[in-house]
Amino acid sequence: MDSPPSTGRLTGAQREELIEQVKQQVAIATAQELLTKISEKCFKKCIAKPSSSLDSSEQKCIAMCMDRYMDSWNLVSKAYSSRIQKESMR
Amino acid sequence: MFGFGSKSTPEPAPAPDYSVELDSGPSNAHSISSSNFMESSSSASEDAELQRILMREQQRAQFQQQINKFNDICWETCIDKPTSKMDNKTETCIVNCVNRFIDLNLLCAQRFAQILQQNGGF
Repeated sequence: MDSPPSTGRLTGAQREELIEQVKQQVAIATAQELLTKISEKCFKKCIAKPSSSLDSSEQKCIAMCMDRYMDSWNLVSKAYSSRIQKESMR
Repeated sequence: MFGFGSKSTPEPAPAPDYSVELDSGPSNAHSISSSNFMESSSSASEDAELQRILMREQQRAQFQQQINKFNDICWETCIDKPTSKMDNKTETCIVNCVNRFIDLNLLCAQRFAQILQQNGGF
């Protein structure tokens, strides 16, 4: 019978580092994607007629838009978690 | 490696090589010295542990992906103009949106399977 492959070359510290790196990369990718989405959405909602600069009402709209998008994100996260829990208890 | 499945996901920075050298044969053969022996016997269970941890991180990443997708859709559906705070109506809309979207996915998957069956596949 084949014994499971051994990663004997990784020390404990290296494993820790690997796990940290993975976590970091996931966090970075998630943040990047979120930022891309926010920029897209808020441009659509706030910049009706692009002019030669962002005026104060546009800037205000963008700030609100970002906050609302994050609020929404948190809400979705909760709703999704609840739903998953519900489904798993069926 | 995580199979995000979404083309909009930016490519993560060069991933460390998770497929580390599979070194079972030689290290077992040399496991006469006590340090090698300790390493190769504890490695197997550490590997399983590592696998478990990486799997968990992958699942976490997929979870985040899903939330991004839902938020994208439900934002469009529920919010017309950004306001200074979330009102109840909007919050309800978003929660409903997530659940109805999931219901829809389930329904479509079921029906799609039926359609494929009826048509004898592609």
